[in-house]
Amino acid sequence: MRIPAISRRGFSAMAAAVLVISDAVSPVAAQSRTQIVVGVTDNINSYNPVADSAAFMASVWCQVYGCLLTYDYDAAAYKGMLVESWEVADPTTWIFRLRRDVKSHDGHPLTADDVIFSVDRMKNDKQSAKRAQVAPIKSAEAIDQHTVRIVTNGPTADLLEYLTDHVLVMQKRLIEAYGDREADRNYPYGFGPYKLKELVVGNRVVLEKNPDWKELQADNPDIMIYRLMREPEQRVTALLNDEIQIAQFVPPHLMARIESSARHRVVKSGSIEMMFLAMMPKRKPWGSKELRQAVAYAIDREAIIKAVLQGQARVLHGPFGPGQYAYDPNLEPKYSYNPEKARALVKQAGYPDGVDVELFTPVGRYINDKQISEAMVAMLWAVGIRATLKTPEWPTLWTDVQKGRVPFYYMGRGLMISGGPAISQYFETDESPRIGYSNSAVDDLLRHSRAAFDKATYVKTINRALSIILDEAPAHFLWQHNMLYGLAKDVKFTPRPDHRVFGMAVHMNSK
Amino acid sequence: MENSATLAAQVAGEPHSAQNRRLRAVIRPWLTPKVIAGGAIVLILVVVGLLAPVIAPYDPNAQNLTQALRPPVWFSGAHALGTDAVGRDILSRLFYGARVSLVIAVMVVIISGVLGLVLGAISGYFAGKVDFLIQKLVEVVWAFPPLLLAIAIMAFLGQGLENLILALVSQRWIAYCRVSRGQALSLRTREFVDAARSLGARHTRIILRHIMPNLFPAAVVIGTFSMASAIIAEASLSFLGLGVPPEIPTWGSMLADGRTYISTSWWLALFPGLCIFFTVLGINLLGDGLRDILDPRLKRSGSGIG
Repeated sequence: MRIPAISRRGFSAMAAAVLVISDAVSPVAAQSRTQIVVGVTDNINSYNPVADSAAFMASVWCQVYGCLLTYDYDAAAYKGMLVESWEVADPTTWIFRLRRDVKSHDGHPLTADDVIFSVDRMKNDKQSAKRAQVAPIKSAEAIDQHTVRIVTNGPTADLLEYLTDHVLVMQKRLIEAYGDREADRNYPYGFGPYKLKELVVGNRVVLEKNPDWKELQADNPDIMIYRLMREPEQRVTALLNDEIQIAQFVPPHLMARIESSARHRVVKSGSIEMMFLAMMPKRKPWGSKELRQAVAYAIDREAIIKAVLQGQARVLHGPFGPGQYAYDPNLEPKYSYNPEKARALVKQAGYPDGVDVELFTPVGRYINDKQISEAMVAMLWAVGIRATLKTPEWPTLWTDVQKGRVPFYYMGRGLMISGGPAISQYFETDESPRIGYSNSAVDDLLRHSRAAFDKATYVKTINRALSIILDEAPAHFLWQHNMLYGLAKDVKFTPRPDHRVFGMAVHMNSK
Repeated sequence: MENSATLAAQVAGEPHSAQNRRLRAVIRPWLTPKVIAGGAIVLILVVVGLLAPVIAPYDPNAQNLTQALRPPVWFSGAHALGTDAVGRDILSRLFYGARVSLVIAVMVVIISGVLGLVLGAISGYFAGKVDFLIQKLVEVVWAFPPLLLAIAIMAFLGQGLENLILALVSQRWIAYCRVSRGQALSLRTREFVDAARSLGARHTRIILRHIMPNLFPAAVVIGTFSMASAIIAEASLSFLGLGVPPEIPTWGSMLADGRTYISTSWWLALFPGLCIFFTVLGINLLGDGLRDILDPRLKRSGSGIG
């Protein structure tokens, strides 16, 4: 068989194409402009900024459109992004003053109408995945061109946590002129520190510095490219080959590989994402409190952290860890590994011969999730809970969990700043069907916590609710991962506990 | 002929050496390098699969977190081929994985073979409208890319051995159906079929007694090749997390689990990969050898089936 010859012209065209492509991804090629490529794990699945509630795209849209506020973990305080200041007028009324020095990427001023319009869109867009973030908002109105009054359904002390980096501001003008889908695709002109240069669904997002954003520094990268790389090996190899400069979520066993390179290093941060096992009390056999507690006693968290996570996690005795806003070291009850007690509880629950259950776990969504779940299955068997592992695809599992169709699952919940919204989402009656737990005492306490605008009362009330939740055990809290990032040596980046990689947080050493 | 002669010789008490000679004459055509090599690999697979509970040093699902990710220690030590991320013995899991591959391969080949042969024979024998309908069905099913159809079926029905077999059978019967239909079309006009018909034999009898036996040699050849492709497809689906449930060790899922550790704990992915490679190689060699013997015309024409 003859292979058709490639003409010289064809060959040079191909070579040129290859050069152009490598130019686009190589950091060396961009002499004058600095560029950082980040290998990320989450989905890139829509042009619609309100269609995704996952952390990664939230961080992208927050940089492009700009969000009302973000959280500063060093200062342990909320920080305005598009908002200059805010105040609580009364327990259900908040006043937000917008920045006057911010202009959109196409040169228009930021107005209160844009904010109100955006809140409306998050509530009403058919594709919206951000309804939960704006759920406490009853109404939003303009006091003047730069001031917004937000009225909540009831007192909501942690309203800022609902709003932080999830509530974006899109331009009303553009969406009214072109329609939302068209505007998202062709006129993504936000107010944020980076402009959207390119988005390829399932592949990459390219952002470009907005020169008008005052807080950006000269050493922040001019171009930020986020490339979807689901396989940890792929991210680490790409990092070591200089294809990327930041590799997100490096599994503990690959740390040594990065550290052995002279040009790379590993940085880590704690996480505010709680990992937990959910047991839906309304579904058999999880109606039994004893059985749920048996699960809590059956899991040897320390052993899993040591063997499967190589020590890169810390045990949780409640949803919060030390240093978090609502953490209370005296929270009781605490569960420790006690297989005898677990066995006795399984019998007490009415299963003298053991019980069959199915444990659902994502694969590749969280660090070593499948291996962890396999280890937990063996521990459950040891106490008479005969668990079989189910590993559906992540999108299927996630949809089913959100619809309350999965009785027993391993999962994480990120962005727990004060933590109230997450606790409500999972444990307050009718807030979401994810666990379907209902207890009027917990509901009352959570309601009171939302009305508590001072920290002491807030922490006390929410921990009273948590104490009941811990005893009833509709979920068993496991650990928080240490999040490891691989970095090229000339890049300075301090990872955030909420896993966001903002361009403003990345600094280039050499340039 | 050959068989009855051997039998007659035995009855007549012919000398031992003559018996051996005839036996050798029967066996000799089968003793090609391909058949021997392929057969040996398949035999090892069968033996390992059948004897897994006896020869496996550990329970394939027994975990020991303190022994996680131990490298292979070839001739001594507790885990000859190392352990995985939760401390399970790789060697034991490979042995049990052979069972899954074996069960899948055999079941898929038998079910799709029977289905394809029967439909093919009916299609070819009756011709006309029946043939038209069956062949349209074949075309519709054939229009789906094979792995995609299996993925769709598994995503819809969920993980499980039965579902996996069903997903793999969904397209594999077509090769049998097409080939046997072609043969049946030519057989239906042959004298012995006419003779049976004129003696008053029913359609079922003609198909079962006169048509089907002539379709077997080609089906055996297709079967061996489709066995290999079924093992690969099982491994692919298990790799994607759509195969059998995670508590059943399979080579495909071991390979998938091992890929996260490929640079640090190479033994997790290498051994299941080698098992798949050698098994498929063995079955293909055997299939090739059988084709040379059972259907020499295919050998000459150089066309492959499966």
